[in-house]
Amino acid sequence: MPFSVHSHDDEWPDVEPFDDPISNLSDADIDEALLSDDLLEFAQQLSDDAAHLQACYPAERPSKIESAINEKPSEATKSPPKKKFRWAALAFGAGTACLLIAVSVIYYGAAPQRPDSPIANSDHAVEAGDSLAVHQVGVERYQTSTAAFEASISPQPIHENTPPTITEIGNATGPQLEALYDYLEDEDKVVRLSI
Amino acid sequence: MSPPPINVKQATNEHFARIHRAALVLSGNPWDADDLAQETFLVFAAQHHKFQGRSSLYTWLYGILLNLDRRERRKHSMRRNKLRVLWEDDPDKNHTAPAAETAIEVSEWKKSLWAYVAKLPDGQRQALVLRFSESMRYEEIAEVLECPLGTVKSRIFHGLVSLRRLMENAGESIKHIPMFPNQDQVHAI
Repeated sequence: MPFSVHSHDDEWPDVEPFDDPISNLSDADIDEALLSDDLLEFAQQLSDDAAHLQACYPAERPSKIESAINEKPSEATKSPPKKKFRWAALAFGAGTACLLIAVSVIYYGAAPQRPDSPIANSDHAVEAGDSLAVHQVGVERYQTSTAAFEASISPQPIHENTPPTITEIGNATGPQLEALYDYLEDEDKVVRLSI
Repeated sequence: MSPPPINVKQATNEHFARIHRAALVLSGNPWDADDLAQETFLVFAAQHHKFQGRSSLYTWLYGILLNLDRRERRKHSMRRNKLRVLWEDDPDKNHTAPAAETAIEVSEWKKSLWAYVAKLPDGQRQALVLRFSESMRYEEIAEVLECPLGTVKSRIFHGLVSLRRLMENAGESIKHIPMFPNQDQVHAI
C-alpha cells in the first residue's frame, strides 16, 4: 500500500524505513530505525504503564466463561440441523408457491366469462346495437342514420309478411327506446319486438 | 488438512490474562476490559471450531478482541451522542455524579499514557496496543490487523507522533507525567 514519504513532520526519518525489507531486522531494530529517541521513550513508557495497569487490575475469570467452556457443544451437530432447517424452509416455500399458482389457475380458469354487451351475441344484435348507440344522442341523430338502421335490423331478405327482428332490446336505454318508437311511428314499419 | 481439535479450557487458561491486559489498555477502563475479555472468550467457546489453524491461536483471539472493541466503541459513540442531545435538552434535570470509588479509579487510569492512546484513531491505537502492551512481533501485528507490514510500521510511527501531540496540547510532557508509587523512575528522565 503506497503512502507518501513527503511529510511536514520534522521527525520524519531521512531514509524510508517503511518500504525496506525487514527480513533481516529484529523488531527492536525496526523500532530504532523508525523512531527517534523521544518516541522510543514514549514506547518504553507505554510498556511500563501496561505492566502497571495489569498489576492494578488483575484478570479474574467470571463464572460465565466457565459454564460456556464446560458446555462443550458437539462440532458434528452444529451445522447439520441448520442445513436441514434451511432445506425444509426452502421446500416449504416452494410448495406454498406451487399451491398458490395452482389455485390461481383453477380459480381464474373456471370463472365465468364476463358477459359481453347485451347486443353482442349475434350479428343482428351487434349491428342493431351500433345503430341504437347512434340513436342515443337524440332523435335528431337517428334521422341521419335511418338508412343504416334499416339495413342493420335484418340482414336476411325482408319479406312482406315477415317483420324485421330486433333482439336484446330489453337492455336499451330510455333515449334508445324513444328513438326507436319515433322511427317506428314515422316510418310506419312493422316490427316484432321481443323484450 | 484440518487443524487439531482445540482444548477450549486449556486455551482459556493459557490466554485469558494476556487478552484481559490487552482489553484493559484498549478500552481505557477496567469495567469495559472485564466485559471485553469475557465476551472474547464466550465467542471463542462458541466458535472455536471455526479456527482453521492458518495463524496462531492467540493472534486469532486478538482478532476477536479487536473486532469486539471496535463494535463497542461505535456503540458508545452513538450512545454518547444521544445522551449529549438529551443532556442539552434537559438542563434542569438532576444528573447524578459517578460514585466516589469510580472517580478514584478513573484518576488512576488517567495517570497512564494509555488514557491518551484511547483518544487515537482505531488503527493507530490497536497497533500501539499490540506492539507495546502485548509485545507482539510486527508480522504478527500485520496478521491480526489484516494489513501489510508497511502499514503496521506507519501506524506505530504516526500513533506515537499523535500521542506526543495530544500530550503537548494537554500541557503535558513525558518528563512530567506523574509516576505511579514504587515505580522505577529512571526511564522518565
